[in-house]
Amino acid sequence: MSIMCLLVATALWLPALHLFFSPNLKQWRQEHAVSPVAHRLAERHLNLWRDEIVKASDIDTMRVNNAEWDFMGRTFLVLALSNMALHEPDRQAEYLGVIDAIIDDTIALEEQNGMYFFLMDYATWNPWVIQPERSVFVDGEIALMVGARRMVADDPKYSEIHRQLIASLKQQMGQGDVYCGESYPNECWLFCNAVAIVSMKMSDSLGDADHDPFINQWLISIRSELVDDKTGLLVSSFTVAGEPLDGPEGSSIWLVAHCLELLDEAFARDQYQRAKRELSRNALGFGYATEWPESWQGPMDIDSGPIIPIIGASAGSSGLALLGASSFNDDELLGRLITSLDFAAFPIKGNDELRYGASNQVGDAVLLYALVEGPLWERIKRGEGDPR
Amino acid sequence: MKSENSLLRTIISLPVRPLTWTTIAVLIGTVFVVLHLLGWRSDTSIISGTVPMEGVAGEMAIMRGVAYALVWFTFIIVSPILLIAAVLRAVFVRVIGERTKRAPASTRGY
Repeated sequence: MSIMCLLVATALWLPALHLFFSPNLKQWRQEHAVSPVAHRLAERHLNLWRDEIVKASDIDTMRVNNAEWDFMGRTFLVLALSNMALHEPDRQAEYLGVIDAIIDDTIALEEQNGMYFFLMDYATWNPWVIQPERSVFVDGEIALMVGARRMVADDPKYSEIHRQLIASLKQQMGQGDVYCGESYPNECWLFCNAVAIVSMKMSDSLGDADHDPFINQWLISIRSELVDDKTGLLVSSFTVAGEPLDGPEGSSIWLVAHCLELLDEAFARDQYQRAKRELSRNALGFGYATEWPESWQGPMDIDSGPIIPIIGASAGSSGLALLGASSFNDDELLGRLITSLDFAAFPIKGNDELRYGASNQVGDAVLLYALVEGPLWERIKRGEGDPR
Repeated sequence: MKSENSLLRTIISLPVRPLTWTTIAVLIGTVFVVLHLLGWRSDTSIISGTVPMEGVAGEMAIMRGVAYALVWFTFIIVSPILLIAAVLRAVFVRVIGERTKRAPASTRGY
């Protein structure tokens, strides 16, 4: 009888557990406003960038583990604040103040220490194929940050930096056999190249130039050369010659699909649907994403983050899946992912702030961006730069 | 001898007693509350692969984070199951006990 009671109790409790963590999505994401949860997440970041000591501590912690996280945290935060500035014009000056502080700090660090400051150590182990040696990861994300800032409110200080970066990126990517440039020596990442292409699109929206022929060539190239045969998903990394190094990965594809929304909506949606089918999982109402599809298992690395055994959940992929779900208005997946977030990521609330104990600054910045994204991409799609 | 058998039966029956399950559930809950009040939640960043600091301090933080996570999941998954099972068993025992009392004398083996 005792075993039966335990079995019945388990059968009653486990399927119901998710109900205690299921979100009211309106508290998390709103199409034309910044949600209450997003405000609390943002408050943490805004305070972080206002307090030099706290900022240094948080960023130093991330840099101990991975210099890229510091850099990417900045990018996602700038994207989030840019969207928030468009949602809330009355707070635009406040958000632009922090955006400018992030951009200026990032550019200053890069100029002072070189691009390797934001790269992992192995960037110095081998020679770069494309010359002059530049990382599309670093240049592309700085260009994206500057472009996003300009889309909110253009500033001559940033327009010249943006144009120079775009010109450099186009030159680097044009030398690659598949129109992609290196993030690390002979290692190209679709994540980074997609970001670079988006920054070109921003530049076009602002009336700087017309990069459509180059962007179209890039799209043709990636569709013909970089699609995994088994899943139909774009691969994550490859050589300058276009030979795949890694197959499709969650820590890459969700963001790539989000970027593709600006370039080829049908292709973007196709990639999102495939990623959802291959990588997203549902366990008793809790959603998560794996890093690799069933047909390809890669090595655990810093991008995938720890993989939870048996279920194969990846913190990196699950975090970016939030952005994918939000971007493609997939409330069902978004709700399940947030359910898991509140269950397993240990929210820490206080002083109108919210952060997640199991996350870090870049993870929280990705979540914030997922909850507020929309107006910036809409502005780019409409070809609207800053009206001033 | 009789009292030794009785003690042995009591010990063997402990794991299946509702009171034991309830006690374990409360114990887990208490440990969780203590770890939470000690602020160990902040050390769970290891789940995302973020080591909070280097050296021995970092290793201690990892241990705290792992301990907190394990206790939390045990608390939120196991404790309610034990409590529900305790209630179910108590209900079943009461229902079976009442049916036994109501059964005609002939079926009770008199």
